[in-house]
Amino acid sequence: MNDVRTRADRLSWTIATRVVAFPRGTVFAASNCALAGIRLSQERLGCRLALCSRGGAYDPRGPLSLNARWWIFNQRPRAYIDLKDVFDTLSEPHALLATPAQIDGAANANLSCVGDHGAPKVAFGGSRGLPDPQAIHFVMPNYGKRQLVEAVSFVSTRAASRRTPALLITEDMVMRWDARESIWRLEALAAGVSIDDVAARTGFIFAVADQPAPLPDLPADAVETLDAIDPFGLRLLDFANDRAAQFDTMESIYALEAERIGGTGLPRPAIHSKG
Amino acid sequence: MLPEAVPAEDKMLDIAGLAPLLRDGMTIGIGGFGLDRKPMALLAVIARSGVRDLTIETYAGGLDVELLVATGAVARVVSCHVGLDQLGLAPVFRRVRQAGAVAFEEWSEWSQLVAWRAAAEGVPFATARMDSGSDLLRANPNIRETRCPFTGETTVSVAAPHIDLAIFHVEAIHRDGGAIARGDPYLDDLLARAAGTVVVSAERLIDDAELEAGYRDVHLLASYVDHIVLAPGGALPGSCVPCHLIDWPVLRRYAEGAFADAEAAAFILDHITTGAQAA
Repeated sequence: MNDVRTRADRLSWTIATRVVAFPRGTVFAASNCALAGIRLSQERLGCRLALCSRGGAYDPRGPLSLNARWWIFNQRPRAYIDLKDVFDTLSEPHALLATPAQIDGAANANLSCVGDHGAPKVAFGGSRGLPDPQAIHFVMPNYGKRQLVEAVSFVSTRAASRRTPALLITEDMVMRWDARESIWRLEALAAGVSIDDVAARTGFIFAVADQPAPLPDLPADAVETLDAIDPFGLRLLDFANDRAAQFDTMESIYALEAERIGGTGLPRPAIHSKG
Repeated sequence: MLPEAVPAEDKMLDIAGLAPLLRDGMTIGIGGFGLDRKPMALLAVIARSGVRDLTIETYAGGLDVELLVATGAVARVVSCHVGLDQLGLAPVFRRVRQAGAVAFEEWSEWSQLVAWRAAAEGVPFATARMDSGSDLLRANPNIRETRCPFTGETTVSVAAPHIDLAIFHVEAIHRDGGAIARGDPYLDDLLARAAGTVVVSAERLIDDAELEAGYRDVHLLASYVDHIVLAPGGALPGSCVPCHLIDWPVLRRYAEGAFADAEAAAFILDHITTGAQAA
């Protein structure tokens, strides 16, 4: 678990150090580490992005919530917007930190299927909001050659079409889309990780910057901030490989959240449950 | 003092009264989002009715799609995503899609919202901002690249869907039809305005005083609503925030169950609470 925690914390910090350079506007985070990273960036680095998130909160400042009903659990949302309003923000400078099922060497992302769309070999849930934002960046917590593929068979969105060059952020490296050369370029590496290590986990060919920068170390006091932002450890879920363990963790988080809002008081799960 | 108002038309419907509104091949829109405020009690009536070849139009599908697909009622699913939120992919939908047994008309979130808005406004299409490099333009015949008639600029246009019947579950409703969702209203109002007939199930009925006290939370105007079904717990085993959250143990068992279609349908139906059961 400590290893998972270290990885999740490191990824969150890397995200924090990157999003602080995004132009002012709104951002939507589709993974727990992305949420934690944006919040960390706001708290520690003065990031001015406005975070809109699942459950309709806008700029939540309290603890992250698995239930994604920020106005119940978070206690500190700074505004409320409903789902339709989230899409109104897409007309503004808006970035999505997405975690698709696959990304390829041409900066295409896939959240639909592998194989023919009519009868795919592997079906995912559907493209969701991938084609919609003005800027898109990818956060891939658990990455390997199944996620970073040579070519996707369905393009949910083409990050290369955006004016803002996409970032591909993982726990141990960052790549940036090079529009001129049409290739991902490795621009930062974690300490102790080699280019060969990255290549072994990546299914597409990528370029390498002249001097890949070291990923910034996570300051000790940033860990404290992360724990305050994410006291229940939602970010650890992004690195869970075992489904049963992941569900066990979710179950304990649900229990902690229920306790936070008053134990058995409303809202509560299963008030009419027969199961 | 105003005299007592003339009673409005009686919109109350016994839950079984939904069945006569169904016909093979119709398009049914489903409100809510993901696992929240899905009208599961109404969906149970549809699943048991024997109706076939349905088109299901839903924004983010979950157990609603799972149930109707598992019972063999569905020919086509129209959605931007179908899944079980944090619990992962929707197993029955995934299986039938991979088998090519059900057509999947896939949208992006914003383009589907724009299409529903067009339908609500009674216009045949609308333009949407969308990545033109997306294969959705190839896979979905209702999303097309078009030219702006004013500037000639390339844009993406989306066709408004035709929706015969829309069903919803809400926290509370007045007998006139004004429905309250203190949680996220999602796209319910667009879908209701787009649909030919609207049926709403509710946790409870409210009187004039409560409606007037909570008027800012009314998300479905009375004029949109044709029929009202009282169904406390009618979104279970999904959530109806803030009344209750998901029935986590049940949903976990479903996600881990690896059920065949018939078993999946039976499992979901067994954990749906109809109004009659809850009363």
